[in-house]
Amino acid sequence: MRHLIGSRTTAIVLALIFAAVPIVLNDKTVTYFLTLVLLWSIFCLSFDLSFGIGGMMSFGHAALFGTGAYVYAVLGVDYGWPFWPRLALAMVVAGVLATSFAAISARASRLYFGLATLAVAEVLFALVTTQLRPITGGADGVIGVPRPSLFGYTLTSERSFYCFVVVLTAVVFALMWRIHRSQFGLTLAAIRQNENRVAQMGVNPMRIKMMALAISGAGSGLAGALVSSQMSYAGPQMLGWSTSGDVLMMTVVGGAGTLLGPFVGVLIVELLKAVLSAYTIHWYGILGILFVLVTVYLPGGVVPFLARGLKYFRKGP
Amino acid sequence: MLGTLLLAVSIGVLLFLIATGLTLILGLLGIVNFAHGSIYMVGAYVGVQMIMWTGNFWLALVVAPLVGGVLGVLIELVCLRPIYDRPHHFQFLMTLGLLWILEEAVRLAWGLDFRRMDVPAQFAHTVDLGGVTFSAYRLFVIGVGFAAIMMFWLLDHTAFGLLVRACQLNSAMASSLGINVNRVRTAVVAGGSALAAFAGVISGPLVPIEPTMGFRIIIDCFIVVVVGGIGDIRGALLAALLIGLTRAFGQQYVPDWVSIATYSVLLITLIVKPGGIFSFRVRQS
Repeated sequence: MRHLIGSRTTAIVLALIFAAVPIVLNDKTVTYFLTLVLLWSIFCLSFDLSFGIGGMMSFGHAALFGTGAYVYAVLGVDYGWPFWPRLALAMVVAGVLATSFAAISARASRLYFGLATLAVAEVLFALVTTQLRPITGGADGVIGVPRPSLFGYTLTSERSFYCFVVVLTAVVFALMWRIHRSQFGLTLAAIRQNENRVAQMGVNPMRIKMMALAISGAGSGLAGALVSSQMSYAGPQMLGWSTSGDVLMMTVVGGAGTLLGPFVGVLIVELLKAVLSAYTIHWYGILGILFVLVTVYLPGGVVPFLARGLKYFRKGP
Repeated sequence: MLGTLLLAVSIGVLLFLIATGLTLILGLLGIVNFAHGSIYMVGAYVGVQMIMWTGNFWLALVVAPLVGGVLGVLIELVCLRPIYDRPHHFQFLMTLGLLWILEEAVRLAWGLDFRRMDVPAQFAHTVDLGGVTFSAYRLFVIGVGFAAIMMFWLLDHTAFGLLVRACQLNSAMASSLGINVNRVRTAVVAGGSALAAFAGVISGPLVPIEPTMGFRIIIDCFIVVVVGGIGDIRGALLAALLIGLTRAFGQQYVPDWVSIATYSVLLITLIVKPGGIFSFRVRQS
């Protein structure tokens, strides 16, 4: 069972630093960047529940992310729903869509599951750009997605939005922590290791997987909704393969199955993206090389590697 | 109608060329290789480059498969063989990384613009078939496809075909009978990759040549492999033709639904016949 490196205090200290940075720096770009990092971390944490713990490699998580984004966006722009109901429905719809993934996993495993989920995402992408154009704005997407409004106050400034996202991330993280340690989480990990054995012990693996995917979906939908809120825009690329590929890359690089892995993965990838793109347009290839190196030399990801290093440091050889 | 049918067949046989390599490699190595689509893409770009340098399409048709075969073997030796004993999804993820790298490498070498390949002069006319004008080049493609199908049929009945099937079914047993399984694997990888690159050059005059073509073709290939059954060449042919039909007729009559139709074929197969068209469910008591 992969745990957090260090202790709970380390986590809280890190979180406080993270929270304080933009407030202290008061730099809009940094705040925007960190908000994006946190939102994608929520996405990766959710993805990791079904992938890292549950062992289900989905190539279509963008479908959940994008659905959350579109539901939130359309309800906000066209129907003027208030914030919390919009967000809630986005999460629910994404969660329900995710349970359809579970139904697929009953008939397909590994590659087949990955392909089938990719198919679902691509079908949604096609639908959104063609048939559902009147609602979704087709390839142009939905613009003018409103920011959250809490107790009557709209979070238009980057700083206020960031504070909200920090709190939300902390809540999601705490939830994931509890799930990882709960009986449900342990059963899910067992299913990844040997589904037959778990079934023999009297547990219904399909139900567990369905729950895991539902939670994963809801989390992804939440992230998608808030990303569209931050960018004031929801577009078909959010449903596209590159989004699914990105979340997979970030989770694997950071460390699948760990709690800090998603954060680290998102940070590394987004930082590299930002830094490298200033020097060359071929930054995606460099990310590809990084990805290959990680899969070959650091199959557990960066976080477990760091954890081993830290342990060595503390206890000696 | 006939025109669309011929179009479907031409799409289908091209897909068959690439997907067969993939399904054979998958059957033998057990690794799903995203980079196979990249080799197709590299083949197309090498074709473009050769034509730019020599103006000769046929030369490109010879050189590209060589490059493709070498690239495939390199990938297998350097990237895949060291991680054979890792869990499958790592190898899978790694080939995804390779796809990304190759995509970027192609962008680096040839830029972001779409490239075009002209139809070779010998086929740059149309043929009248039963009242339908059809591009001579597409007929050539169909001809090449059928030649490839014949070749596979023949190969299947040779000693080498037997070797491949033996290694596919039980590599440990084959090895203990004195067959050098690694060499068979490398041969299949080289052949499949060469074929993919060849298909890349052939499709050059038909599709826009751009860096994401590798990914797009590999998804179609995966669909063919899943629908046709892993390691099953007959199934791959049928599945490829099915996809070709879906794409051609879809594009002609319901263009908005082409993607959806193609992916629906995949989803329906997974629901009805998860092992592929020619599979049969082993009964569980």
